[in-house]
Order: sequence, then structure tokens, then C-alpha cells
Amino acid sequence: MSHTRVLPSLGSILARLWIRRLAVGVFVLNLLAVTWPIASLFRAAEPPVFGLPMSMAWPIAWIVIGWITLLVLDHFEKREEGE
Amino acid sequence: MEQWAVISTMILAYLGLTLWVGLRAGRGTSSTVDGFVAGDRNFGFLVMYFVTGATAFSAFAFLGGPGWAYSRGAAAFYILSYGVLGMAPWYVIGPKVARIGRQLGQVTQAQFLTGRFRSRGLSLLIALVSIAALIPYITLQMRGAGIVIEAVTDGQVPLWLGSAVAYGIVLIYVLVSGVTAVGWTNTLQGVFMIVIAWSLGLYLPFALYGGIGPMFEAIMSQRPELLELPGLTAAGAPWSWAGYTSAILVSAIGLTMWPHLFMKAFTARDERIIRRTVVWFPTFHLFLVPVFLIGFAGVLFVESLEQPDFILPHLILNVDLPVIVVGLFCAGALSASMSTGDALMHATASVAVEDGVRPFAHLSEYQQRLLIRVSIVVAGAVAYFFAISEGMSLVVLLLTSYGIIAQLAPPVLAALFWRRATTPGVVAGLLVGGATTLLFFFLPELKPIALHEGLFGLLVHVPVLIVVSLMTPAQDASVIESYINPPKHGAEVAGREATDWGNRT
Repeated sequence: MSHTRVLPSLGSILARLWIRRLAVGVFVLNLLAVTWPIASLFRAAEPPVFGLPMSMAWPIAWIVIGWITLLVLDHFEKREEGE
Repeated sequence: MEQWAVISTMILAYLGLTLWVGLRAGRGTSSTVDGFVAGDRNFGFLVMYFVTGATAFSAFAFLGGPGWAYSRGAAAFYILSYGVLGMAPWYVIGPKVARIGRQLGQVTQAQFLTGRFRSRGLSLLIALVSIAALIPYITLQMRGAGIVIEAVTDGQVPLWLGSAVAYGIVLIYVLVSGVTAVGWTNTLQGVFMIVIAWSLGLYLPFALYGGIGPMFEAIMSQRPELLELPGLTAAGAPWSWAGYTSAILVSAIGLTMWPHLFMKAFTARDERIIRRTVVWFPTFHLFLVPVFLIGFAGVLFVESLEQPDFILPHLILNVDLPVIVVGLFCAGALSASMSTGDALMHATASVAVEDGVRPFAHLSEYQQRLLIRVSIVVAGAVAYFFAISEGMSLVVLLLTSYGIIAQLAPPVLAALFWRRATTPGVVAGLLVGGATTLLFFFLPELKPIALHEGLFGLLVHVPVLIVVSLMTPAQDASVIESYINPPKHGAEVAGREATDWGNRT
């Protein structure tokens, strides 16, 4: 384990806090987006998205958004753990 | 050679491969309870990724998923919606649970909870709830395997024989290698499931409609109600938004609380691996997309099937596919069934012994391992008995158990994040929440709105937990501290002394 960075800089602590809040925010938004009432705005099959009905493309899009969020969050957490 | 004989040969080859992997897996694992139940806490990323994914998606997803899309249309999209939502909190909770488990020598969910809320009654309660929820789940997996084999062999291999052979193999590798066999066979089975689902999910729409877009256009023109949220009920009437939304909520809350998934936190080599598993889980979850495409492909080709869960075998057998595709499909379905079934059997037995028996009787390591193995056989036999007897409404039972399992979420969160939570508060909450869930399950006409019964359970559970906790004296500060702020590099307990109940005499 490297000991070059004993104290993390204030900037990195703030960045991490900010990213964590952002991640929580995205998942709250995710929950709201796929449940009533917001999901009812995307209830219809039309217009199709890449050949899929919009009602199906919408939750798929949120899986991808959730994945990207976790990747970004993990990138910052990993850096903090010094790995 | 007859078609069914070719397919049977492929199934046997696949089962042989699984058995070989399962038996080899156990080499190098210690012969201790820690080794048998928690794989010596030595699972790496690849194995954890597939264990989590393949365990979460069972025969229910592989056969039931297309069935839902075929008969209930957009209602199936609730399953797409809850997976990542349910798994994301595990990024924070999972590593914390793993760390506490490592420091206090825990291998089950009840041990984790009773480490903070010390009560033998609570341990027994969780054991009973878990077993009651897990047995129907195992039964469904066995039936799934038997049904698939019976269907693709034209009935030459009946359900009872197919289930017996597939689960006989599961029994052998779980008994010999414990959770390590579950880990490595799930890796093989996970790869099979993903590859086969994607191949069939893309192939069928092209073979039957000339593409995915044209398929949905055709459904749109003839059955537009299928593609509009929140879809249909099993009876074909429009589903309510309350039902759809609360199904997402209860499933997301319950997902990681299932004992066979929760316990896997104790198998990871380190906390980083659990985080990475959560980060990559969405890629596994996307496997539902081709699964639903398969179901939609059947909509205009198969006239109302009595049991929509058989849409997949039905389509496969009636669309004139090459025999190799049929065999592969069968391997995929068996993978889905067995990868969940093995984890379930292993978890049921571990929970029964570690949480149901051990708090009340002193057992040596050897006796524990022996008793867990005996319990695996018993759990398998009970589930097999239900699987081959007709007339059990198991799917309904499973959906209710989700509501009951979700009741484990408040105690887990309270243990990790709320200093003021107390044992009486947690026990009272569990009892009241569980009872409310069962009440609205058996008497649905009492529901004020059409929400999932598990959600009503939680709505009563949480206030009771809080009020009773505040009315009872706070816990010992050192116990609270070891859960709220587990030291990063705390000393590990020698052996598993910490989970002992002090009845060594």
C-alpha cells in the first residue's frame, strides 16, 4: 500500500461527497421515473425507440443510466480507497 | 436417432459438465462451516458477478418472463424497472455487512441481525420466515426444470424423472462442495443463460417477423393494449398503476433481503469485489430484454396458451427450429433453474441449522456441517414432493413471500444506521409487519387501495419499530458502534466464537 497520500486533499473529499449526493439523486429520480405518476407520461408504445415500444425503452434507458451512475460513483470511491 | 434422443443426449452432456465443475470447485476449500457456508470468504469478482446475476434470475425469469410478456404485455416491464433500483443500495450496505460478518464471524442473515439485536426468538423467527419463503421457491425451480425436460423430449422423460435427475446432480455437487460449487456452477450457468437468452431473443423476432421493429409494429396493429403501461392482469383486464408501482417498490426493497442473496455478502474476498459486483449488475439485468422479446414473439403466433409460462418451450417446439437450438434452449432453462435452486437449497439448510438449531443446542463444527448436509437433503426432498404433486399454487406463494422477505429490510437498515433501535422494537416490527402482509394476502378485499400487501406490511412495520424502540432502553454502546461504524481493519474473531450463544456447557 502506498503512503504517499496520507491526507486526502480537501478538493477530493468535496468531489466525493458531491458525487455521492449526485448518485443518490439519480436513483431517487430513477424511482420516480419508472413509477406512477411520471411513468404514465411514457405509457404509450409510440413513438418507437430503436424499434422498441417507448414503454419498454423507458425502463431500459434507466437501467443504462443507473449503470453509468454506478460506474462514475465507483470510479471516485475507488480512487479514494487508494487502489 | 429420434429428435428427443438427440436432445436428451445434449441435456445429459450439459448436466455432466455442470456436475464436473461443481465437484472440482470444492477442492481447496477448508472443511469448516466457514468453508461450506461462506466459501472461506474467498470469492473473486467473476464468480461474485455470476453468482449474483444467476441467482437473482431463476427459472421464473427464464420461463415466467416470456410468459408475462406474452400474456400480460407491458406489465412485465416492472421487472425491468426494479432490478437496478433494488441492487444499488447494496453498494453501501453489502460491504458494511461483509465487514461486520468478517469481524464477528457471521455466515447468515439472522446471525447478522441477532449480533446486534440479541434474541434467540428473533433468530428462530427469521429462520422460520426464511424457510417458509425459500421452500416454495425451490419447488418452482424443480418444476421448471422438469417441465422443460418433459416438453423438449415429447414426454419421453416425465416431469418427475427430469426434476429428479437435474436436482440429483445439484444435490451431489452442493453436498460435496458447499457454496463453492454454487459459485462455480453459477458462473457456467450464468454464461449459458446470457448467451442463450440473447441468441434466442434476437433470432426469434427475425425468424418470425423479419426484425424487432416489424414485430412490435405487427403487435401494435393487432394487440395495442399489450404494449401500453401498466399492461394487463393475469385475467387480461388492465392492471392498475397502484399495483404496478407497488410491485416495483416491494420487489426493489426485497431483492437483496432474500437470504440466499444476502448471505453471499459473506462469501466475497473483500469489500471492493462486492462494490464491483453491484456496479456491473445492470449488465446482467439487461438479459431480461431478450427474454421479453421471446415472449412478444409468441403473441401473434401462439393462440392463447392455457399456461402462459410454457410460451418458451411451446414456441421453441412449434417454430421448426434446428434440434441444436432446442437443446441449447433447454440447457439455458436448466441453467436458470439450477443456478437459483442450488443457492436456495444451500441457503435453506444453512439457515435452518445456523439460525434455527444452533442458538438452542451446542454443536461441534463437525456436527454443524453434518446437520447442514442432512438438512440440504431434507429441504430437497420436501421441495421435490411439492414439485411433483399437482394443484399447488406456487407462483402465488412466491409472490407473497416477496412481501414477507421485504419485512427483513427495516431491521437490516436499523442495525446498520440507527443507534436507537432496540431488540423489542425490531421483533415487534417484524411480527406486526409480517402479520399485516399475511392479513391483506388472505383478505385482499380489506385493502383500502390496490397496493401490494408487502407495502402495507412495511407501512405498519416501520412506525412500530421506531415507537417500540424509543419506548425501550437503548442498547450497549459498544455493540451499536460495531455495527454503525465497524472498524476498517478490526481484528477478526478467531473461529466463530462470536456467533456462539454461550450454551457450551
